[in-house]
Amino acid sequence: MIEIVYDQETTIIKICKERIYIEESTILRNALLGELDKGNNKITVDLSHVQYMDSSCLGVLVGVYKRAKERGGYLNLRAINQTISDLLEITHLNRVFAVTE
Amino acid sequence: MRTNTLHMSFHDLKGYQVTRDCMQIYLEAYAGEQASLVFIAANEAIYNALVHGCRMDPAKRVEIKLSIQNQKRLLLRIQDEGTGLQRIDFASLQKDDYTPDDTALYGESGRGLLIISKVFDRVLVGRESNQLLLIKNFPNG
Repeated sequence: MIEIVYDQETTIIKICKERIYIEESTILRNALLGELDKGNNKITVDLSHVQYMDSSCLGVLVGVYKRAKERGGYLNLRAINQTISDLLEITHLNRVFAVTE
Repeated sequence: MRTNTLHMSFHDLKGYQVTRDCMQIYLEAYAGEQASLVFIAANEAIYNALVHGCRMDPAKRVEIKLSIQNQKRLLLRIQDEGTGLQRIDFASLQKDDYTPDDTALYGESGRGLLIISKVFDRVLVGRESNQLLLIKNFPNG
């Protein structure tokens, strides 16, 4: 479900699943926290394959964003579709996450 | 005009997953360009019914009825066998003046109801409060 690529500047976490719900949120949390534990606190989450996401997964992303920030890093989102963009706006999280192409 | 209705019930996580997938197929077939967000919001509502309404008790049932009338009005009725919803604080759901450092933005849970209230045009709680009626109007239906 998750591919991890270590770029020079950032750790790219690519979610290779179209729909991520509560059942996937634990896997996502563990993968992201695992990177923070290794000292990789500059994280880009690639959502190019993700069509839908629920509030539990948004919660995981926010939680890891906070921890990454506390350690001087970041958590950015990459390649989000219109639905995810709308969802970020509805939940005001467009004011939290930086989104790249 | 005949209305195609999705009418399902479930007791557990597996039943929730099946219901969720059926709702997705139904909405992609009938809800047009609104399908994705409506599906995400509907999913939040049925998951809440299972977890907060029935508290994952397999003896308790969640029943859903989803229909789109005349291609312009979507109704989702969700009934669970729990003790009922707490009062919904609609005023706090309307709050929009968050700054990026507002701590309220950084909670790890509690966004389900916000998504439901923003996506649906009306959120009605039944008299016995374990029934929720969600309505979405499609202006160009």
